[in-house]
Amino acid sequence: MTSVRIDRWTAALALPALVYFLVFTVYPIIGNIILTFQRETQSGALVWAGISNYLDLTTDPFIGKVITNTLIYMITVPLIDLALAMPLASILKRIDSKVLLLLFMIPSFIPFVTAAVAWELSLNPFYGPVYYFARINWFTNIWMIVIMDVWESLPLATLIIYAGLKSIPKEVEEASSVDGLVGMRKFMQVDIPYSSPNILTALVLTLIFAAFTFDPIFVTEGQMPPMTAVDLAYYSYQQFFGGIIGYAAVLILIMSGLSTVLAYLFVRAMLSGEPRRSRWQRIGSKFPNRSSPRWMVGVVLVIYAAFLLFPIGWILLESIKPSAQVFNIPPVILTLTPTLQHYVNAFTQGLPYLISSLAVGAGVLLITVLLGAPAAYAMARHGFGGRTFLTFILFLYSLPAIIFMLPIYQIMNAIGLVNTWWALILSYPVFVLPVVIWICYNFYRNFPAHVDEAAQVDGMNTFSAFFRMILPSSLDVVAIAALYSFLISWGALIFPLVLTYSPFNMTFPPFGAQTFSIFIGATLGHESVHYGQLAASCIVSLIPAIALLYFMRNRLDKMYRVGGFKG
Amino acid sequence: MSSFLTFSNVVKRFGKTTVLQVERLDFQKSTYNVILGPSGAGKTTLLRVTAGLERVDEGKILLDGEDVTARPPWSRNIGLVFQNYALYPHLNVFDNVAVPLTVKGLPRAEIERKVEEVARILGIGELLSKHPRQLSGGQQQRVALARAIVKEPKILLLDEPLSNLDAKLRVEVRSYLKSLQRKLGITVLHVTHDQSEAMAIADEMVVMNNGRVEQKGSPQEVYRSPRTLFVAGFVGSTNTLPSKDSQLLVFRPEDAEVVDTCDDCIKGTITAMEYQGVNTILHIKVGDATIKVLDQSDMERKEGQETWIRLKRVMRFSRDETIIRDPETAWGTKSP
Repeated sequence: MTSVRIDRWTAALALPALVYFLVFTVYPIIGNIILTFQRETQSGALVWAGISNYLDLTTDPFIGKVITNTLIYMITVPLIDLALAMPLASILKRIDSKVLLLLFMIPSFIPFVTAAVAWELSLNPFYGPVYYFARINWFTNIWMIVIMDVWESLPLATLIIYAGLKSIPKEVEEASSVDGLVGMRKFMQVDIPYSSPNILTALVLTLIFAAFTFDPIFVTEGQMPPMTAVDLAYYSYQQFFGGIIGYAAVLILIMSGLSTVLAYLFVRAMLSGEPRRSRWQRIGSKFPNRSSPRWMVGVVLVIYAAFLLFPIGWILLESIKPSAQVFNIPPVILTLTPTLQHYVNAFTQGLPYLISSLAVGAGVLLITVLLGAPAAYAMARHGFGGRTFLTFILFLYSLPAIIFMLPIYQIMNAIGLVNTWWALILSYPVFVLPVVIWICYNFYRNFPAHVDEAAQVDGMNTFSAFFRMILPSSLDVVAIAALYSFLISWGALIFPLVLTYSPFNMTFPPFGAQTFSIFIGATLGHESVHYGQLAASCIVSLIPAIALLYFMRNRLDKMYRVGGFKG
Repeated sequence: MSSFLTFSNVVKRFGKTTVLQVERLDFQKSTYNVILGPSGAGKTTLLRVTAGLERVDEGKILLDGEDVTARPPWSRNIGLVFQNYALYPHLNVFDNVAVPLTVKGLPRAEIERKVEEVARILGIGELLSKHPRQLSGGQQQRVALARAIVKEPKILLLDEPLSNLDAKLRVEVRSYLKSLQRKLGITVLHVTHDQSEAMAIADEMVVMNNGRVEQKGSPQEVYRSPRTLFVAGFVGSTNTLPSKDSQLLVFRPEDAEVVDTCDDCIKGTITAMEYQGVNTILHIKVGDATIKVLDQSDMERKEGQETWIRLKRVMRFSRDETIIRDPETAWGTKSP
């Protein structure tokens, strides 16, 4: 137990973040509830509508399909993820290769919209590699979305479980090896019980991810039969764009309820973390107690690699093909005359979008680091806000951005910022700031208290002690939090779709703020789009993710440690 | 002499546990004070409430005539050397030492002058451009000391300053600390759990146990005239024997001698011998108890040998472990 003293200087560290959350998260949650009782007139004014929006639920012919689809995602994606992630995590730990770990992580760190486009290009029955072995139309049913969801979330689930396996104490590993436990039985009797908090966290995170699937549905909408794969998140976005604001608010309220339940599970999984042991002993003893042969591990690994790297590999090959070969039937796999022409095109045509994404990413990075790092320090070191504030941060961490969509649009509309960089810079921290705080919090929790104490004794108050001594001596972690912040901004899709409508005008004052993610996601389906240029744009959009993974390479598993919180 | 640092009725709790309870404690200016106690005695907490890093729950702390109880650390003008030195990892030695001065906003030239002066006093002039990780433990400690004294604090707090040094360096540094204190005329509070370290350098020692002050006094007073059985046992080694009137007889190994015969003596059997060079420590079984006696004679002893022990000086403690003062002898001692 430590003594907690919150003086005004400590409060000043966390105050900006607190104020931000009040304005941009607490208000929108309330504002959305108000919207459910309103409707938009033809002139665009909002008038009271009583409970008519709620009654619309009963007459909506699509709502049953939409809810069914949402449930399909929620049930299938997490289960498939876990079934695939546990063996993969175990194999990755066994072979202990940092390069392979990083490669396998790529799908979860790249923009989801890029992922969806990459799949779409790879599975094109005429121009994609599937021409040779599976020449069918893949985008006819919901399962294609499930596959894309799994592809995007499997690496993260694997990483969280891998982190759990890596945190098994060395003595336990040694004891089980002295006791002769190996292979499957060791996995069941030692690994699973010890990493059960991580497995639970991975389950809940993938559940949240799947429940609010958006990007793949958005990208593939043109190909799919109508409503095939539409879930609540995408449906509410459609309603919003159709101008049916009140009904969209009702759908969002339903999602808020759903996400609150999921967030509760998430917070519990993250903050409890006492491994459960005995149950697995009996089940585990039924498994063979021998190490899997090396060749089998190798074969399994190749299958995983094929699945996880296939779409990225294809867009990489596609992006360097000369234009004449891009629409060749049968498709050219490996071009003998590589060109960078598509990259030049991507940069020239995508430039306004690229500038917007960079400007917004930089702005969000500054805000989230300047607000997040001091708040995290005040929480971790001085106990600011106690467990309540920590729970609130985790709660926000797990909420999908879409539930803040409507009131934030209203705010930005009211202050005339729609379709400007500022709308995005001010609103992205809703989902970026909790992540930055969480990363910094986890680091500062183990940061030696004496640096700050020495600074206080040397005459600095807790506020200036943070900015003069703590921040400069924790730059490596702040850099990771900053990169992470940039990465989330970079891949964001819903907020820019809602808050912008045209690309940057390339003059001053800047106007128009459509992002690179829109450039990638919204161009597919247009007849004019060139696959080569699209593939090149996708590769460009991977750069921040690769950079982040590279910087985190030595602490990747430590970032996802779970449990053991003193609160 | 008026007190420079005063604690009155200070209480500090962590949750429901009271970790510090000091009714009255005074320290004089320009003295070297050592706070001694086992771990969990509250000595580090005493240091931290002095620095302001912990806030007391009750009571008052007066420093140089001012009530500093509610003051945060940054406005107390205190120097503190942390147990692990707590140097700023991203600053070089010069910048580390200069931090307290830059915070005060002194002009650059004056900062340089003061840092160089203190570096000269502490012999770290050559290290000024190095980074903390390039320094040895002893060097880091000097840098931490320099940082603590460069701002000319009212009081210098040392938290277990010798615990991270090896045994040989420890003896060297402790006399260095004392001479530094003499040279600067500063008031020092030095926390340790090592009683020989405390005895060697303290002007005044404070023996603490369970969050309370057991005794304060010069090393001689504390050693020769411990107020409680705890102090007697913690400072120096002691033997304890029950007496007929349900009191405890306590004496130090050097206050007993082995004799061939005497009237009023205790009888025992030698069970072990520790040869020390100058003298020998004899383990002697007396009844159910085993006592240690410092034998300075050249007589040949054997294990298993029966012998007589004469007590030259004895302290008597009552059942509640406080000393019973004998009005006839100043030290509260008497032959049995």
